[in-house]
Amino acid sequence: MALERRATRRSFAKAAVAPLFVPATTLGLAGATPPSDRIAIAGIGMGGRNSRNIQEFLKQEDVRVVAVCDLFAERRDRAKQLVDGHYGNTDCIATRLHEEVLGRDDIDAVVIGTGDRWHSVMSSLAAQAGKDAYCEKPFCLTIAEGRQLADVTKQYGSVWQCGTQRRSNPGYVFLVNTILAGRIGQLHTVRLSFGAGGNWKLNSFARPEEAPDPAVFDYDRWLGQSPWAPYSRDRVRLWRLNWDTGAGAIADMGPHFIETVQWLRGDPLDGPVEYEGLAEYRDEGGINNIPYWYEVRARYKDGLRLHMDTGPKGLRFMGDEGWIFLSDTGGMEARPQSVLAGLDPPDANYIIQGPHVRDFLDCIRSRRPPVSNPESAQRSHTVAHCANICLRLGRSVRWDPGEERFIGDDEANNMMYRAMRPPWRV
Amino acid sequence: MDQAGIARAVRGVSAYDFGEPANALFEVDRLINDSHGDAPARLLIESELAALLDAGVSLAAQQEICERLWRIGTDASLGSVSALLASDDPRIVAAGCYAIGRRPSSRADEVLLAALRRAPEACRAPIENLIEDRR
Repeated sequence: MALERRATRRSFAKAAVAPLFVPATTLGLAGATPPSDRIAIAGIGMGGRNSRNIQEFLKQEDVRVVAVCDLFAERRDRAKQLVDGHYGNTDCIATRLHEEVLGRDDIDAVVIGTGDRWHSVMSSLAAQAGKDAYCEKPFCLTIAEGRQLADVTKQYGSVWQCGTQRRSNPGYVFLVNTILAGRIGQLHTVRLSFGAGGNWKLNSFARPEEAPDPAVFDYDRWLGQSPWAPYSRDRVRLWRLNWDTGAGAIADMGPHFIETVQWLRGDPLDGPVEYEGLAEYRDEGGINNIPYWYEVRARYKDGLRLHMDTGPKGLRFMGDEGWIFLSDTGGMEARPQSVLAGLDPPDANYIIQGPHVRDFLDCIRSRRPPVSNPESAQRSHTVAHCANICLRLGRSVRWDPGEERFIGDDEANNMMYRAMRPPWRV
Repeated sequence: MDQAGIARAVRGVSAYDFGEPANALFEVDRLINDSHGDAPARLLIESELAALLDAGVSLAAQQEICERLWRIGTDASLGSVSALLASDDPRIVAAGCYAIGRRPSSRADEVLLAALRRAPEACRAPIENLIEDRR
């Protein structure tokens, strides 16, 4: 596409091997985007979530998905079939090694949907390789990791969008504008419910097993930055349920909803200053060591209360003249009913992703920061991580958003960072 | 807090290995949370955890102990952690680095630099990365 270095190389190549008859669409006539101006994309980590992401990129007329990468052979094959099926050819490169993707100068951007422990590391490697990145959440396992990535993307000037697609959802835009218009009066409390879901209660002892052939599943790479542990199918299957490999339930869902609160407040770099909470854990001694039930109460410095819990997924904004609730499946409800009177709320279903992908692609061209840019994502993830640290400590904590540190709490500050298993790092 | 109870609970970690029940680890986590603000109890927990490292436990137990020291460790346990940093197994060195983290301590900086000077090639990366991250 139009990145200078690549355009020059491609222009040369095109001049050298120009065919006699060139279809109009190849030249960008008839309203089509010429191949030379298409953004070349690779997907890294091709499980269910990122396959849906890639399908959204495939819908974009100015995109060409050229490669897929996954540590599971089965997933790479399936992803290649998806892309090749879309284009009607067999051109899509499929590889186990991200180095083979990041090392190609014909790839402009990567879409990262690996396990959480890989998000910031892969994003950092992409930035260093001159690639822009669209990265799933949570993009970091610790506050320090997020800060490092925000600094790296700034250093390399890369465009990076967090996959918090609700930020670009017309229903969420409507919600924020409705509250800003004063329809529920002065906002005093926000309740974010991330869902209970049976998956957070699963457990296993993860007994060691013989690791598969890396060509079938590369377990050591899969572990990434996490402390070494022997292979176990359950360790792989339940990675979200252990702090070594995942970031817990609040960080899984929280970045979506918290980002909406920060956006509504008009200062994406702000954050609550106090957290207190309660949690319940599985106690049979398996690898599940994250809370499956929790209630966290946070407070911003201006008094706005932010509650996070395991209720049915959705956001409830409470003001002194009414409340408005948005379900994660898109339904909107308000009391009194006059809050929404005369308005026509658009669909706010979480699966709407096109506008967020479009924002990322437009930013690749314009080089402006996307809506879910590293700094705003870092601050919304910080809220989730602060909540987790509060629960793990079993006591309240105070946070300084300006300094990005806990106040007078060495133990909490120690938990902001953790050493990564080499060679992986941000 | 009951000192004998603390010692007994922490020593329960000595039997931990990959794939085994982690109840003893959860018990230590509870002790750590309950001892917030109780400096003598914290010091006892830390010294008992360090003693387990000195006594020799499985890699899994070493990692879990280091994850607790990551939270509550002080210079008091640095001697035991520095022994991990001297290992020729990069997984054990990584565990030692995890324990130190970014905890502010000039003594920890010295321990890391000393460990880097004598570390075999295969074990240098975790120490180098941590030194850089601590700057």
